[in-house]
Amino acid sequence: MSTETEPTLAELERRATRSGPAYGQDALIVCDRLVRVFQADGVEVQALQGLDLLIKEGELTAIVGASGSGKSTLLNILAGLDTPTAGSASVAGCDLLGMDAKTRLGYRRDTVGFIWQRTSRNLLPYLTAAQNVALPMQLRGRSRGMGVGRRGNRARMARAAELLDLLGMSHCLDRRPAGLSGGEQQRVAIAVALANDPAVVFADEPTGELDTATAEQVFSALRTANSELGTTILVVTHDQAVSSEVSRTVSIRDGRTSSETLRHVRTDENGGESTVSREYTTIDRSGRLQLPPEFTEPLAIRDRVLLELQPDHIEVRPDTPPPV
Amino acid sequence: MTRRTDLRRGRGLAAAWTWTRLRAAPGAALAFAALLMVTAFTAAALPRLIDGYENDALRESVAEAPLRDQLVSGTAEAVYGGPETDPRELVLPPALDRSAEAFRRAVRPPLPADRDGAVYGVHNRKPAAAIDPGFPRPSPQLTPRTSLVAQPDLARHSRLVEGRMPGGRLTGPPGERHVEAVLTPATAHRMKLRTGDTFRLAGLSGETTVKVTGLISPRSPGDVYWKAEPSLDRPTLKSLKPPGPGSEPEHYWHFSAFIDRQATAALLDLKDGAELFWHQQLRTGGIQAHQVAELRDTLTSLTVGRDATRLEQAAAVGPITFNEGLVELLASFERERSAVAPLLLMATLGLATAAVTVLLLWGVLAAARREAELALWRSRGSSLRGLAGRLLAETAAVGLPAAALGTATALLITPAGRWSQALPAAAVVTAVALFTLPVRAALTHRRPQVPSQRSDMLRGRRSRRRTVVEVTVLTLVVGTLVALRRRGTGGGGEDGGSPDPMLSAAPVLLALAVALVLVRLYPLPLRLLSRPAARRRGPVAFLGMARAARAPSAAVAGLPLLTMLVALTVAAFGGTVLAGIADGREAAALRAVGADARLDSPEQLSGKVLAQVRKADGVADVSEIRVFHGGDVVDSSSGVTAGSGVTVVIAEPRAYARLAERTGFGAFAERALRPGKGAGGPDQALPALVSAPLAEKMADRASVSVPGLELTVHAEVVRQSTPAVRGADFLVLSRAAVERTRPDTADSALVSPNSLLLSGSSLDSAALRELVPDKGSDLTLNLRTEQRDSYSDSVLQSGAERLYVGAVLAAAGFSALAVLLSLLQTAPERITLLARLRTMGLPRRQGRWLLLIESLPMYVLAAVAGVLTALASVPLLRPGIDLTTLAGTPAADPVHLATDPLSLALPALCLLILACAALLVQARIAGRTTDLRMEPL
Ligand SMILES: Nc1ncnc2c1ncn2[C@@H]1O[C@H](COP(=O)(O)OP(=O)(O)OP(=O)(O)O)[C@@H](O)[C@H]1O
Ligand SMILES: [Mg+2]
Repeated sequence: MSTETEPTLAELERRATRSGPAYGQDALIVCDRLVRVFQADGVEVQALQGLDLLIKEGELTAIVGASGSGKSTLLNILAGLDTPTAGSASVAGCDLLGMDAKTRLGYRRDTVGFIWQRTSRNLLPYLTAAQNVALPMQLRGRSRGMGVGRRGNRARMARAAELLDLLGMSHCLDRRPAGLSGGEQQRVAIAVALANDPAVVFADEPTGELDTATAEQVFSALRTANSELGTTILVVTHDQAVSSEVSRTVSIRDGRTSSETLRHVRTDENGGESTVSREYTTIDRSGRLQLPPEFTEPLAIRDRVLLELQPDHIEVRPDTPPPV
Repeated sequence: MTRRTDLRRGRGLAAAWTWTRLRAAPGAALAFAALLMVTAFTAAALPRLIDGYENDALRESVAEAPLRDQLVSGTAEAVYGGPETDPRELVLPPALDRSAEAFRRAVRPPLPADRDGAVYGVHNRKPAAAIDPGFPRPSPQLTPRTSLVAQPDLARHSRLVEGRMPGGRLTGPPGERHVEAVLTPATAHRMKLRTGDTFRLAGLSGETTVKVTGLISPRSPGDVYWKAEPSLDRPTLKSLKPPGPGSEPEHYWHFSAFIDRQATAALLDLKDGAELFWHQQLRTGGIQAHQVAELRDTLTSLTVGRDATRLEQAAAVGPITFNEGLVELLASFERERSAVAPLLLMATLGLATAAVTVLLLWGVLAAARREAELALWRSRGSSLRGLAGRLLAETAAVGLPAAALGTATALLITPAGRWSQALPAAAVVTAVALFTLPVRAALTHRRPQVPSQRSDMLRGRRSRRRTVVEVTVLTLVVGTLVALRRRGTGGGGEDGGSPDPMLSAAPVLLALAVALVLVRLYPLPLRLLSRPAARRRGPVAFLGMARAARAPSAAVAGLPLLTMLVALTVAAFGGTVLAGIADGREAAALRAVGADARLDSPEQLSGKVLAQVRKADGVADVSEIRVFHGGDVVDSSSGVTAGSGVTVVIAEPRAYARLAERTGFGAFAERALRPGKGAGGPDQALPALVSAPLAEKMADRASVSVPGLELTVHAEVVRQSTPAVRGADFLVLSRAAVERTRPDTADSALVSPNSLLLSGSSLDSAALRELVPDKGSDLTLNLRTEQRDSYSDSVLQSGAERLYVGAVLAAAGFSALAVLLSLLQTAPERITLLARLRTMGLPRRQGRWLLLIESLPMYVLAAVAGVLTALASVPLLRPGIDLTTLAGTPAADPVHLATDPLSLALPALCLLILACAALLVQARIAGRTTDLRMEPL
């Protein structure tokens, strides 16, 4: 995606040290050959096996994939809760590998927000909705933003009310999580994630425990946050309805990005709008290509294929032509 | 609701954090407060209780000592030719008053001098012989002895009953001195003196004549003024045992006469010259047990040290000799205390360990319970310090007032004792309680955690660091124990000084080592067991085993295990100690009495008494014996004396054999004492039961002579002990046999009984006491039960025992708490599991079994390990612990630690019962719960 221009000296240096071309310069989230290996009872599990991902600022992106494909692992790494085994990742200019504990803490406070699947895990049960939203601001402390003492408190509560209002939750200000429905809890959780005005919000199956109608509400809250506040949002979901509503869906297979679906709205001659979606397969930086099973199985493609370069495309054929 | 009110409500958010969190779980906060309050109370109260108990014991032993030993007393000589040039100066009031002032100054803190309880004066150095023949003489050859005493303020301390006070003027030259004196009425009466009488005292050369000018009676006879010196207010009968064997003690009267302070020069004419004396009483209430060593040092320094030099310079009366009584008293108290101290220290350490572990457990469990919450805090951007600080604020908000309350209560209800131990102990306990949760949380959440459900797997991971720490601790502990064991057997209590704290820590250390090993190893046998369990048909055994075998977190499973082990060990060991003491007292009492009761008379017992005793309630058996003390045994062949002072017993053999059998003191067959066939006639050697030392010294035949009887005997049975005699040299003969060889003695006073040994498990002591009139009878009655109770009547023993039992019970209480805590922690999970299994069709009864099978292995293991640890500490500690002092029995009957199965098993059983009960209650609760969504957070 980067257009070839004369490289600056710094750029050259970076290339030399990273031993690769400039990658994802204008992206907010950059994952470069991300690897995460878990050790469990002496067995190694490769959750991420060299994952590449670029996400631009302001995007609302869905990540889909089979269970165990490494989605949560990726999100936890990006949220600064986990560290990758190898590769590199940066979010909003923060290098996730090279952070010490202090910058990591600042990163979690200021740069990212997080929403988990289990509604009960996102909120402290003994605080009201407003207090829960105010909590991250308070944890960030007086260094930035709201000021100290009573004035700071008032400012924080004002911002909490504002956020909840934005997400249509102003009626729940003083209720504790136990008195909220699952959908309401998740919307409060979105407000919590947005509290410190982060650059990115990660949501790991935020609608996983909810019915379709409620999931729709929660998702629209996420979309509101994306459109109104311009926050970049990365959401992991199993929900087809959800993934069909975002402009970009990245699917992960075996710890690698495998394909992407891009949607855009096209206005036809009559002024009617229709969504056009196109599926792409991703080609990684060493040229590896993953062919989806819907393509390979009907043609019984296995082991190897024949490639032929045409002027504007590449042809992929099965090794042995099927019997006529 | 407007936005504005919402905002206002949100105001004190930051300030109210702690409060909000605490209010969310008031139960836990209150329970924490209660736990800390009780623990701080215990920590503050125990050292003060021990202090108070030791003070009581010390004051008791001081109060029970003779008054002279309670005083700081010094004397100095004033004799012609002594180190001081002119003794006449020394005995006069100016020199005396000056020296008394110096003495008073010298007895200064830490010696708690009683300003009112001081007396000084001068008297003749040794009581002088009063040579007038008119004096009463209990032993005609001994004359009474007299002390002439001059103490200041005599008029103030006495009332003049008749006559006048003595004058200060001496008349006559040395050798023919006349001096005036007054007596107390008691002295005058006993010595048959009246006002106006004179009596003569033997002097250096010639005599001193004392004229009685009047009688004075003490105003307060109990006062130190009258009691510090002997025989001041009344004569005392002294006895003297002349040298030579078999001599009878002889008696004489010692009495005092008071002379004027100006007349003291008369003392110098008496045989041994004069002696200055000073007595300073101490406030018994001001003596603290922990100061004993310091007091002794001060006294020693006063006797021989720097203070002594200073005192002698200030007093200027020549060398001053101090009475050793008080130092001896303090030293013997210290010896006894250091015999008891290791046991108390052991119980205290056990209690401390149990209490601290419970507090640690509380913090660790709280951190585990709140793991998800804390992880959320961290992932929302809380710094580590912020997290720990917030938790500390939380624990402090609840814990500090609770700890303060507990400590204050302890200080209030234990008025005695020092603060210097109570306050630090309470502070340590409080710090442990407050800091465990924050520190543990900070350690767990050092890196923010991914809130995942895979926590089980994560926890199961064995960290190498843990192994290293465990191995290190284990090595240290085992090393200490080995060193201890070596030293213990090498020469226990050689130094006899302060108790070895390491020795007292042995049970705790042992428990720690075993706990470490157990936490590591106990899943192994369970995993092995779970394999056959899986093959069986029912799901219960398999499920239970599988759950039990899950690797527990070291802290969550290990801490209760450690608490249980420590408490079990200390409790079981304590039970052993107490049982050992009780057994030792029983044995010593039986040894001392020889039967359940013993009736002695110097003369032959009347038939009436015999009949009455046989009829008395509860008397099951009576053994009639005749006891001769001081018999001589001469070897027949060589004519060498094998023993003099042998106790010879002529017993009715059947009853006596039964008694020996029952008491275990040298059981023998009654037949053995019957004379052989064809016996009869005076030359026949009688079969005798002989003590081992005596048997060694006499050959086959020996002649025994007691007053009025001479018999030839041969040692038929040799025994170490026999019921009737305590000493080492004894000889028992059958009465029937004696009567057959010496028919002249039959039914005579010579062989008829003067002692009765009574048996009966429920003797009516009151009825027996009635047989023994208080006055006018030579009968003495000894009851085994009374003898036994007499061993425990000193404060040092009974107090130590009480404290020990208290500490052990408290430790047991804390360990029970640990068990309940650990069970409570996992309760929600278990209840949910049970409820789920029930929906799958698990019958209620099987559910109960599942709970038991899952949790009991750990408790069974802990119980068994606790018993084994206690068992192991018995030989480990045996050399270093002197139970005899604690039991209060005489040194001749030493009490040893013995393993007592009941006291070993009882605490373990209690633990198991408690665990079962708690589990069954949970099963019941699970039976009622239907909410399956309840998940352990
Ligand atoms: N803490 C861990 N320890 C060991 N293995 C782990 C751990 N976390 C994840 N894994 C493994 O990594 C792989 C990816 O897990 P991950 O949770 O990222 O999958 P996922 O895509 O989120 O699946 P799902 O859609 O079911 O949530 C899985 O095979 C999992 O077993
Ligand atoms: Mg996941």
